[in-house]
Amino acid sequence: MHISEGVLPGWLLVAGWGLSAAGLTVGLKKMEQRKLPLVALLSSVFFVASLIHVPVGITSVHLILNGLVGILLGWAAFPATFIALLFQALFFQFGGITVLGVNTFNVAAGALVAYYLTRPLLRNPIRRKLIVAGVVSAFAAIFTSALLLSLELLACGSSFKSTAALAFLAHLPVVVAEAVINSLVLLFLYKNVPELLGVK
Amino acid sequence: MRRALLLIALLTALLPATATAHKITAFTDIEGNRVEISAYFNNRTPVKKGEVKVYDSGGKLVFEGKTNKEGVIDLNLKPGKYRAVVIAELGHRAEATFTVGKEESKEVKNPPDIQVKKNYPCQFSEEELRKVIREELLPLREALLKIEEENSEVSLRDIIGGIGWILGIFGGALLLSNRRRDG
Repeated sequence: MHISEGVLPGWLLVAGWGLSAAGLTVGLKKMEQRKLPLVALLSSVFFVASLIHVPVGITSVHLILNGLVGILLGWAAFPATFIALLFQALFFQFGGITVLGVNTFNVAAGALVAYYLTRPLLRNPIRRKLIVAGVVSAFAAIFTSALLLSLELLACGSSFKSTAALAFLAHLPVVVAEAVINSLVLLFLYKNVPELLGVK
Repeated sequence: MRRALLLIALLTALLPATATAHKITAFTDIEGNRVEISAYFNNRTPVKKGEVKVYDSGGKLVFEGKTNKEGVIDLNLKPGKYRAVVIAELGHRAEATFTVGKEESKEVKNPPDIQVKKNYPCQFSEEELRKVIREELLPLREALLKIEEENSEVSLRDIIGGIGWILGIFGGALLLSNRRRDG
């Protein structure tokens, strides 16, 4: 889900930076100090996730994991994904520096949608609710990002319908893989470190 | 459940291996006036039907086309400096600059050099010589292209370096906020 350098028009790049800056400000304000190590950890996980290729059929897909980042971090998903995307751009030439604003917004907005959708499920968690939360977060986060990406690519003349169809279809296996991963992680955390899920 | 899994597997098998990769890279291979531009995603799958645009040094569009199934496109260009842009689905874009050398001249302008050394006749024309040299250099060119391709891949060093940076930045932030709280 990284848009490359030089694809989008300037006004969209500026808009992306503006939105991400706003998200970063809120994220940094809301970030509790004791959660900083968790933010660092999830930022690294997100950084590495896009390098993990899962072979499915004849093609291979890779993880995004913004749903998981969203559930565990909420608004702090902005700083976490921003830092990770920055280093992906610098080290791997994924995306780029001028489009960093747009790319951060795409991924972090997906994470936030996952956060708000799953919050009610985590208030009084039982096994089944945690699994549902894992599945919902994967779907919501990735499809939100794919939708934003398709909308933005409208600006450079791609047809929304075909881009969106491709983005959704291509990420379907990723969604399935992440639904499983998120559910397992949530179950594990609930059993071992429930305080991370905000459960006392 | 099983049916759903099968459906998903089928769907993925039908997908172009594109959308999921994070970047594309364009490579150029030049032989005389013939230029071969190839584009790959970072997991080495070719960019199929990628839009290719070639601009000359003045920024004028001189060629437009699409890559084939192998992610390759061939074109002929006049000597000069060029910039190729490859665009794939979902906002992927790559650039490569290259130079096309002097055109091969059919006539040999100064044959006397050869005639001077009568004991050492050279019955090859310039064109033939170029061909021989090109063939000799082929493995070298392929090796260079391979190194270039390998360089565009993600290395373990970068991955570990990146993780280190991220942890370091957040560690520093924690340290600062601790100091602020204590002080």
